[in-house]
Amino acid sequence: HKFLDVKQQGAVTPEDVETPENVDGLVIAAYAWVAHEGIINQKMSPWLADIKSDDAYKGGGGLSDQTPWYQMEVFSLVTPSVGNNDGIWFGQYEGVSRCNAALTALNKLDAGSYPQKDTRIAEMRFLRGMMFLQLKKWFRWIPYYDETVPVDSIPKIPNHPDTAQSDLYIWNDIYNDFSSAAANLPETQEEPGRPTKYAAQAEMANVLMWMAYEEDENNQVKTINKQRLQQALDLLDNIINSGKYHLNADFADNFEYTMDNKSPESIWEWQYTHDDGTPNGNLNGGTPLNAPWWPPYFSCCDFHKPSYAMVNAFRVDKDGIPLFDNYNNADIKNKDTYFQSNEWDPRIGHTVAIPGIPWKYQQDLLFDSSASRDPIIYGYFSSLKENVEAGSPVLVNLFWMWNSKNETAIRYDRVLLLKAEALIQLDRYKEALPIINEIRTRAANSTGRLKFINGKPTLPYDIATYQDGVNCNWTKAFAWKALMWEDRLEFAMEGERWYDIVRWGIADSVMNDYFAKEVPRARSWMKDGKFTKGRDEYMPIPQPQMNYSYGLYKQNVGY
Amino acid sequence: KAAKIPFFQIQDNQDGFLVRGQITDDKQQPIEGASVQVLNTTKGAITDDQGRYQINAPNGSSQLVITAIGYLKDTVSIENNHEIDRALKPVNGDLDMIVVTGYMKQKKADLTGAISVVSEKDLAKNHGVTNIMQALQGVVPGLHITTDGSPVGNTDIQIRGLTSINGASPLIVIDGVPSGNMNLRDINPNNIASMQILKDAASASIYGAQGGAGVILIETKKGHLGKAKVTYNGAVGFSQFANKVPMMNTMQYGQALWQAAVNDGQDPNNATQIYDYDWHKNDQGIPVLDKITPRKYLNDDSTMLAANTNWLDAISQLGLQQDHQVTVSSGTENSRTLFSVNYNENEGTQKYTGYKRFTARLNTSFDLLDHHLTIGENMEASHMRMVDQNQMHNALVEPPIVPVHTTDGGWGGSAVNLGMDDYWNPVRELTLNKDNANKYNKLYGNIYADVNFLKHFHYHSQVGLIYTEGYHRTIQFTFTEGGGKFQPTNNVDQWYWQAATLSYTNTLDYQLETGKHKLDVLAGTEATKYQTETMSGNRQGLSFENYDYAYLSTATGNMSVSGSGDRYNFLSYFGKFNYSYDNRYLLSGTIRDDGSSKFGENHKYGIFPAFSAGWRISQEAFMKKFTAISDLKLRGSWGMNGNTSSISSNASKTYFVADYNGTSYGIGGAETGSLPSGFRKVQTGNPDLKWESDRQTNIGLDFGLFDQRLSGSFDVYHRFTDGMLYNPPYPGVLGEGANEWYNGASMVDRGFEIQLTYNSDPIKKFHYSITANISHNHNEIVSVPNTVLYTYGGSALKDDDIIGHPYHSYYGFITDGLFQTQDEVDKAADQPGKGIGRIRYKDISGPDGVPDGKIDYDYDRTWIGSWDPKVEFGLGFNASYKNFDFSMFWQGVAGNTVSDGWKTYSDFWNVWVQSGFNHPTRVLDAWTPTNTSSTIPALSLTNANDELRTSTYFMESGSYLKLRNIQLGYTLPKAITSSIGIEKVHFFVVALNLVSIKKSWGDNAFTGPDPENFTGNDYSNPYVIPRTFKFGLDVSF
Repeated sequence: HKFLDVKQQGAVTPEDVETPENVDGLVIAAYAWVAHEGIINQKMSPWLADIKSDDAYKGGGGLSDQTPWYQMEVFSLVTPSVGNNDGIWFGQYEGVSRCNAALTALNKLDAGSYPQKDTRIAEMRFLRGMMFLQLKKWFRWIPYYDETVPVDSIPKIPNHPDTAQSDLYIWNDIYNDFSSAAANLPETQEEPGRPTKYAAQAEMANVLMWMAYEEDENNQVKTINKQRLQQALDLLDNIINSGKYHLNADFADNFEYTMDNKSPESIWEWQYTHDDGTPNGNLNGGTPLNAPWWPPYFSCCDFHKPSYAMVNAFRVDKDGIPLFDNYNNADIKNKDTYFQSNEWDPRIGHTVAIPGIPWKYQQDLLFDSSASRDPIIYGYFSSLKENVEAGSPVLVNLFWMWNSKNETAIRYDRVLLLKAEALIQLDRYKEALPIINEIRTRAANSTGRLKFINGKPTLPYDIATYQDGVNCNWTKAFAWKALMWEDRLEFAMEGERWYDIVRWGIADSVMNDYFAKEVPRARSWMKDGKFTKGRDEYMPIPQPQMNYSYGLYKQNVGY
Repeated sequence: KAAKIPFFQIQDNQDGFLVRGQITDDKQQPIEGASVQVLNTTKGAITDDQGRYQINAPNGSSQLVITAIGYLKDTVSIENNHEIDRALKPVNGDLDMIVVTGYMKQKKADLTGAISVVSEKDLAKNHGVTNIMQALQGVVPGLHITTDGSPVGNTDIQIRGLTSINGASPLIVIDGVPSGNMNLRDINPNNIASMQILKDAASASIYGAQGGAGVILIETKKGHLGKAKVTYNGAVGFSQFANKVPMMNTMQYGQALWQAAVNDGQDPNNATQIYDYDWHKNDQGIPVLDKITPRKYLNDDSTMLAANTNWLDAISQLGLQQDHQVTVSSGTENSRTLFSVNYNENEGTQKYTGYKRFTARLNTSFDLLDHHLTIGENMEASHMRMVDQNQMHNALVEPPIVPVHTTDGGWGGSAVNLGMDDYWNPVRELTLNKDNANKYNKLYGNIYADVNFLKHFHYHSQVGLIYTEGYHRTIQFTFTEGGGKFQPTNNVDQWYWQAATLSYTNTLDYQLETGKHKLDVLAGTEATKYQTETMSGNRQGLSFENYDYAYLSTATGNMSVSGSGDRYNFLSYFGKFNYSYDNRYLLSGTIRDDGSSKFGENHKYGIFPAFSAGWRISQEAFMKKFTAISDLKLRGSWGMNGNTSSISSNASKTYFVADYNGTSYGIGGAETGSLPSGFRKVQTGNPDLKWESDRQTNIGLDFGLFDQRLSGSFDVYHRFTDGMLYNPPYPGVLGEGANEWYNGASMVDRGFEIQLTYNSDPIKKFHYSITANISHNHNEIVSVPNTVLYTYGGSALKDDDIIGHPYHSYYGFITDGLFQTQDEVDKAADQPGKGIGRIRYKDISGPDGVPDGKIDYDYDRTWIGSWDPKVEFGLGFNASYKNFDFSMFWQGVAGNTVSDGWKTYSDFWNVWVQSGFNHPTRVLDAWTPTNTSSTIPALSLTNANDELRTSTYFMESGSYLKLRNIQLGYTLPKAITSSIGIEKVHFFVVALNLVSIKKSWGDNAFTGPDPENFTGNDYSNPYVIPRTFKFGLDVSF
């Protein structure tokens, strides 16, 4: 009966949007997914990986404030039902589905009516690769599928088939997304939010560096595949030789909103905006909990707190070389004397907010102890890199402190250090020395903004380059140690550390050493800190997904 | 005393003759207001206070028809007798009461379904209640009503247990207009004449796809034949916060904080900057507190002086209650009118909260064409204003040392600069938002025409309308609290919403009475159209924070607007018959074919049949010798109906939306400015989507003894709900918009209901009646689709899903007391966070099906109770003696287990995200090395043992017995009132919720304030049901 033909209100059909006129709407929605995805339970925020590493504590208002993250940072309390884990799975696949919705529509169009077809397909494959890469690093065993798989078949794809000899086939799928993207993306894009050929190549190299450290069924690195390292090296050289990128003179420029889309070091970045017609702006959904508890400058929520172990890792010896073996043997009893009586890699000034020194280069605003919400549990330091200046125009106070500073997804210093890593593993460690020194030289030159209002340096900073035979003996073993250290300091609090120690196969020893050091530092809550080798390298497949798959998915080893 | 002239003029003329007489009851007492009508004419009269009447009857008049409320209809032949006195027989109980059954009416004695009636008399006791359903708690067996203490009258209604896991509510039908979107709170209870609750499927199935959760039919008051009558009903009183929880004061708070810190091995002086402690450890190493010194000033300005605030007192008020109604009604031979105006105000027990409602009703009808055509309307218009604030949570947690105000008159508040967590001053919140009201205008009712033709046919046509608009203009104010918390930006919010349901109903009824056969057949159609639109805007940056200034256009900062709409239609065909033979054998049948635009393409229409039969055993010849039995009827019914309330109009369709807030992206790299945006998928369509289906069987017995002095009924039922709608969680790999509505799970409700009424001898001066009812319902999930089996509790690894359990069940850990010694801790199962004074959880299973020495979520949880009561009951007592009247009503539930969320406030120092909350004084009795018999775990600054987890620690008895209503009234003697021209004056005092008894003994004693509101947990903002006292007056002229 006609009376019952009532059209849905305020909505459109799939056919309406799969046209040349509207397909850009599906593409843009795929980009928007990262900017808009839910925060607490869903966002694959880089810093979530930090709390699992030896670099950071969860922070916030005690152990009950997002208990699942507490359970993750001590590992032993993680079960397949752990909270804030299912949302990550769910959220990343939502991102995949937006890419696939766009790809399905794009495939149907002909290039005549829609000339950007190939570029847009490449962009969507790049984004899809990013989503799967996050899933892969967090869960290891995941179902991969592309847009050609019928909807009914998607839930029938196993995450870990019994026939799988290794997880390399999943890596290959992700690699293919990036390589297909690299083949079809231009070298430059008019709109800075879209990835370029080099961004895709950097991700290809990134994937290859994971694939190079081949893991067995128990998550243990078995062999290092030199062929893949060589492939990665070629890609990284290709990016370097393009001449399009170079290091910022000052490390600080990597973490300032004024450098959004302007940094020569940035290869691709997620775009965040404010005053854009949305109620509060398309703000970075990953970081609003991470500002200090510091009225009137910041109201909330003091998550992502630098660990005392990581702060110590910035200590240098009298020659400006890291205290590789003894760095963590000192305790911070009196903050004032401790910091003034040690010497520090300048990058600490860009990474850690320390009471008594300026907040984020604001010489008229000294950070102080009252900015820590639960100092008995999480200490007195805060994280600087993802935060902005007090009163910054990109700061949006919704009690949670949001900002619209872009987040750089791939940086040139990472390209350089990945190259150094590949060279060392390929036994060409001598060639790695100038690369690491290039990074250290830039760090040494990055003290211009680390000053009190009277011009004095905020801390005793000191850093030297490695001089073979002078301040070190540049063997392969030393080069590897130096490389790992450099990665830790350069990308501290940026969510790289955890994945690096897993990739290198050292998470077990690093984490258990860390717990042993931290518990006596009044971190009694870390007594449950215990990393189980062959389990904790990866998160469990969330129990709800196990339930929905009704026996199809295989739980990760150890859970 | 001479008879007064009846209100319409008698004229003697050659076309007629005068008939007169007196109408009395069977004890020869005159009946005033009886209607005496000449059959098949328009002539009639109303008796005066002596029961006298006179009529100018047309020539050829054959019979008089005499009716009076409370008496059997009487017909008498006129012949040549022009002086006719009649004694009317009182109605035999309520067997002759006419019951509205949905598109039709039936005598109660002829009912074959399970229908409960709430009469005008029952309703009259609920003076000034905001929501009529609040007054019906416990009155009707099988009608489960839950309320909270909020002044706006929120209720939740279920008929015979849970109809659907989607929480379907009964269909409300007002004066024949089905009102799927009606909130009973919006109806003025004073205008309700009667309510009939259709409980079994056979009764409700005439409403087909909308009747699955039962149907509540409401008839509003109509004008009666007779002279114009004016009545005033009023009540004024107050409500107060009942069961106020004792909260810790400033020193007690300091003591508990100290205890929590020392329990954790922390120096308490490091744990707070607010208190200074002198303490030491005694010989046994047990910490001893010597002296607590609270900080004197809580801010740098020294304007926040340490206080001792009882925040519950600070937010509380005596809430004014008032209700005033004026009703004017009149009826002539050809028209009847009822007009009423009402003002209802219900202030909350929290400051600056409350509900106001203005209502006007006009019901009129006109008899035309010699009673062949009746047209009329019933219409109610109302305006409501609600300030529905609730700051209970903030009042429960704000530390007592914080003052309400600073010494310079500003707001006190959390000393965040001294490390206090982020609490909100609840008095500030209530005060700032006191004028942020939601307002609603409502217009609902019908216009109708009835045509009687060809003797047996009756045609009814009606257009029904329910129109609601809601709007508000609110300001979020800037503020600064003395402790450092502040709100730097203000904004104004304007919201407008309107919704309209338009229905068009046509029925044709055929009635035939021949010999012993009585037949009533009806066929009809109904078309319903629903549409709604809403828009809202919000803008920051007000230069002046006042309502005269604040509009979207006068703010200057960021703004956001949104708007949406929805529409759906129903189209239905239905038929029904009632047949009785010799008043002994009763048979009814119903069929309804319902179409809805909400249903999927493959199921546009659903057919809902029902049958019922009754046997009036008491009418059989062989029963004549049992003179004590005045009524005995066996009933049986089976029917099917549906439930669509939870299907949204787009539920069966795949669709995308454009969503700027969710799909825009700064791809161009600019920091500000408008963005490109796109589309995202919202839902996957299901062309097979349809109604939830209910099949219900009911067997009932109605009985009456001793001339109906004792009467009652007994019903047993079984309902199977199948194809319940659910929008289940789905495998993450399906991605965005993969959510899809299905018909899947099924469940069973079964139960019984007993109702008894006893009336004392009506001849005695002291008259009383007792009503009692009890009902039982058991709900059980029968099936749930495999992929979502564990969405409702249970562990896949343990295979203990919800099948076979009530939907309202708890799944959690079993506790086993507190650890007393380190030895116990060491020997116990592996339990993260265990320790002395902590809760011990039972190791009930493991991967191999036996305890595995490890406490975990996957293996050590089980089903630990259901909050569905096993029985619910009501007990009423009414009495009158001379001019006094008295009544009381008790209501209760028993046999349920509730999760006492109040314990999360009262039994722990810190299990929530925010720390440093204040608590009820129960925490002072927590376990310590010197208080080892306590069942309350040791206080701790952290919650490493995860004690907030669902466990038997929180499971307590939900049973209660409450004195819902007690009142005493006095009617002024007629001698006084009639001398001043007033018909009746009645005074009364009434108290609501005066007595409340909970299970306060035994292992499962309820430790919170009120088991009826047990969900005091987390941030649910429990609103305790208040106690109310009122004084009132009824006057009629």
